[in-house]
Formats: sequence, structure tokens, C-alpha cells
Amino acid sequence: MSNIAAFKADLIELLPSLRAFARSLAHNPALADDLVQDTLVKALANVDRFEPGTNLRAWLFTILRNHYYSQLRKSKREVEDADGKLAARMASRPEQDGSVDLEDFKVAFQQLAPDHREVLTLVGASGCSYEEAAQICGCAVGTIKSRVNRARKKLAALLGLDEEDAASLPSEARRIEDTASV
Amino acid sequence: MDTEAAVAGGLKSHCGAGGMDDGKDDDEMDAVLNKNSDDAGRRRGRSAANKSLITRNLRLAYGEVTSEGVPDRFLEILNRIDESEGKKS
Repeated sequence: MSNIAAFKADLIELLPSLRAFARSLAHNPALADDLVQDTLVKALANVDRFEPGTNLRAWLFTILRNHYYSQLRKSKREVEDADGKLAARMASRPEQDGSVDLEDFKVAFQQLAPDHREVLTLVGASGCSYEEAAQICGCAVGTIKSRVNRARKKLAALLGLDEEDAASLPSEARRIEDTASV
Repeated sequence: MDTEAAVAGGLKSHCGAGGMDDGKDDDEMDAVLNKNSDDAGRRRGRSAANKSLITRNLRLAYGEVTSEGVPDRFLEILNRIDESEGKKS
């Protein structure tokens, strides 16, 4: 098998995860697949820049991510699709047993900033190591770790999952303030 | 005169709002006072539960897309490299 045939076979194998990563950035499936298509075209045009034996997944994810952000910068704002508008209106609450409906989860997830969505997807779902995620996002491993933590806390809050008992503290403070003003 | 009335009115509504919350706040105060020692442990437990819940749902959402069939247009793009290779050789 020629190098190019092997490269193609590896690409085909990675297509499903490339699509899933794209979907976490661009929620709209058609826009996400456009990202994948542009990524494939760029990858093929730059195939000579890929060093065989290195991490093809990280290389492809990096191309897709950079393309997404450059498009985002061009448009100055994220394309506001109907789903996004719906997402902004919906507030999700966890079920009685503490579980979360997957559709509610997706709605909450889409309300996160893109850099939070990408680290959660890379580290939480795609099976990337922190090192791989750092390579893809072009930042330090420590940055990825703290970003994952912040993203998780934000998502937990959007899902109505309490991380702390902080909710009772502000009302206590308010009560003392009320008493003082009387 | 007008100013005094406005202040009194404002104060009244302020007190009213505080009064309405009293019962609820007392319960919350008790909860905070009685459970202080368990708080750190419970917070850790909840944080870990939230973390696994989030990871589970991230994987479900990701898996939904990876289990879809890959659109033909992607394979067509990849097949172009075979053709261009064929022309070269």
C-alpha cells in the first residue's frame, strides 16, 4: 500500500470523530459538515506537511479547529442559527434522580463559549490526553486543565447542578443587610 | 416632604420583601449551621457526581455523531487523491 493510500485509509477511519468534534464547535450539522469538508480539502492540499508516524488525529483536529476560529473571526460573531436562539431561551433543570436529559444537556452545552466546548469534547469525549488537547489548541497543558475545570463548573451551573452550597449564603447576607437597614 | 415619602415607601417595600423571605431564610440558616462539618465532604461528592454525569453525557452526544454514517461527499473528496495519484504514475 502506497503512503498516500495508507494516509487515505487513516483519514477515513478518523472521519467519524472529526465530524463529532466539528459538531461540538458548530452545533448546526450542515455547518459542522462544511467544516469537515474544508478540513479534508486542506489536509489533502497539505499532505506533504504531515509527518508519517505522527498523530494524524491531532493534526486533523488542529486544522479543523483553526479553520473554525478563522471563520468565526471573519463573521465577527457566531452564526446565529435557530437552535442557538432556542438554546438561549431554554433553562434546563436536572431530573429528580439527579440525571440529565441528553437533549437538555446538548442545549446547555451549546451555551458554553467555543473554547470551553472544545476542551470538554477533546478531553471528556474524544479520548484525547491533556497533552494532545494542548497540542490541538496550541496552549499549555496547565491551561487545558484549568479550562476543563472552569468549563465543567459552568456547564454544571447551566444544567442546574449545584457544585456548592453557595446558594444559601447570599440570602443570609441579604437578611443581615435587611435587618441593618431597619 | 416628597423625598421623605419616597424614602418611607422604599423602606416599607424593602422591609416587606425581607419579611416574606423570613421563614425560608431561617431554614437555610439552620441548614448552614447544622451541616457545616459535612459540607466539604458533600461538596466533593457532588462535584465528582457532576463530573461523571457531564462526562457520560459528553460521550453520549459524541457517540451519536460518530455512529452516524459518513456522508458520501467526504469519501468522494478522498477518492480524488486516488485519481490524482493515478495521473501522476
